[in-house]
Amino acid sequence: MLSGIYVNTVKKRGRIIAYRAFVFCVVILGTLFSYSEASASTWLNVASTTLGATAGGYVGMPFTIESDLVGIKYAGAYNGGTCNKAIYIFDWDITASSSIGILTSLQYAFGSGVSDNAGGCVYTISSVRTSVSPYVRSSTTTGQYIPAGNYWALMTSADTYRGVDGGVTNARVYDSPSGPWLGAYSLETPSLYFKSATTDTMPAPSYTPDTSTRIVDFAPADGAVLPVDAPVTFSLTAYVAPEDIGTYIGVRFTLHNIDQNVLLLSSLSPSDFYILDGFDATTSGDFYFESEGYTLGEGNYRIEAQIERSYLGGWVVNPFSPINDSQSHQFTVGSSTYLGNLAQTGFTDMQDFFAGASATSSLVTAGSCNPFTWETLNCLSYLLVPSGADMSNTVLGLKDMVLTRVPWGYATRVYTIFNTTATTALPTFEVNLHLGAGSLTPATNTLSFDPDDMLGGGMALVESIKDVTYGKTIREILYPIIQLIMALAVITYIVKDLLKLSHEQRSEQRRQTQTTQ
Amino acid sequence: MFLLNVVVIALGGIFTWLPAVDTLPNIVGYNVDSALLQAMGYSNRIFEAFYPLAIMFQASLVLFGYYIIKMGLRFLLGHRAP
Repeated sequence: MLSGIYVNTVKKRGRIIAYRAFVFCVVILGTLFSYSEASASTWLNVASTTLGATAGGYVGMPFTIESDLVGIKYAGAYNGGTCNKAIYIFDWDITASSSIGILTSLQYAFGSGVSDNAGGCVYTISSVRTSVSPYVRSSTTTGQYIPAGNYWALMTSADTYRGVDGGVTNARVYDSPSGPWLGAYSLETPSLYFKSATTDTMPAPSYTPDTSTRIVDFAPADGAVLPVDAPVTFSLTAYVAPEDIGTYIGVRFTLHNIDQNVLLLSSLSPSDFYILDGFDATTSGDFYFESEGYTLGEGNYRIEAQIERSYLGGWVVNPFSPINDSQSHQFTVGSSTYLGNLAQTGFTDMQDFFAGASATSSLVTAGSCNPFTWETLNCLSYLLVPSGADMSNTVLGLKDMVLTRVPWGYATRVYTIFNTTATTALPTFEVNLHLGAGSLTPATNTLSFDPDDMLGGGMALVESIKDVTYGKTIREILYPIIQLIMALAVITYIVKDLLKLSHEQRSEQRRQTQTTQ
Repeated sequence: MFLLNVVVIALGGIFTWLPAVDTLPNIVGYNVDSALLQAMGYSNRIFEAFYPLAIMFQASLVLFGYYIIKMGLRFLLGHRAP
């Protein structure tokens, strides 16, 4: 009997420990895991400063292209004069402050403009100058490939454009409606500001382009979230090297949409449709395709671009050709679905597993579980720790499918409201003053209090007080300390409450044991 | 991770017939949802100035969640709750 009581006590104690650990972990992990959508980065960042401008020096606007661009749409306003303009994009390698200095140039001179458009000039950058650049590109190809990197742009007139080869001095930028030679042009967003300069002969470009047959880019971009009410346009940019084109051989392009917006177990709806199917290139150079707009329903999608070596007019494809390539971009229209996210995450993980070459890919991490190259920490991490994307998707799926349902959905909604960060301006209070108590004379004086204004003014005053040495405000100094104290207080309270529970349970067990005896 | 996804899909399948809650209901003609949103808006405005209050509010939300979980477990497990 005593052993039976002992076993029961051990079982109950085990349950108590499991219960305590579960509640503690849920509460703490629930506060630690907060998933927010990652913000999309812009592809074009423009600094707000310009280089110094002196005669004979190149000045321009430094900017960064974060991901490989296919084409820039340029629209500029110009009052007076002609619309012949060119934008020269240079590699960012300026070391001298006021002269050309060491300038390695990647010259993309974009086409001259169209006719004056109601006092302004509108350009679509559509061609690359062929005389100086080692790129020999078609002047009629729409959409230009510009690799990611740092650049700066110099705007100049068409005279200088022509004069680059021979050298024309004293060219000016006639693009400002009034001095001082400052213009602003919008390249999609944001705007590009620059100053003019006199120009000398430009040095020869030193950048060596990639001239291998390859898929350069295709759209929509990987991870894009597109609006549901706008048609989706698919595009593909590729480059074909001359040596890959011959009498009987060519290069085939295929762009097709693989719809993942279906149930995982359903095969009822055809999900693939080809946008550009088996186009055979018989000449080398840049290739750019753009489809019409397709209206897609909400959900998750995948677009795949393929390039392959073809023979005999595209009837035969060489499966072993080194130029064969297949790339996928996954995107979402409107809201994603839980199952769609599962499928997309699964696809990404499989791609990483089989194609990963970087140190952090799943394939390399899995190697840490190999007995001959055993690394305990990496192996355990690979086996037990899910990726952030997986956890995020699972938590969001749980929230959408379970936690927002009646009746506990009301608690979730209250919790969501409590977690909002939006502010509302405090209302203004007005007090009407009457003359004398009980006076019936209409009030002629009004006192108004604007707490919002008072708070704002007070905050600005307090925030202006900064530490002399480090320049930190009172908030920046005290906020982490108060946060730490509150966090410790909350954790201590929860642990104490759980221990109190345990103490009550033990007292209850002792009473039961005594009663049994 | 696979098991977690299976559990989530199973739970989703069980509860999918329940209606989703977008906003809180009106009580006796009074829009509780917009009232709460406005109250939180005012509170957040005050918290911008008095940030210790914001930290205390966040801590109270954590404690609120702890008590909800504790009450839920006691309700579900009944006399078996440790």
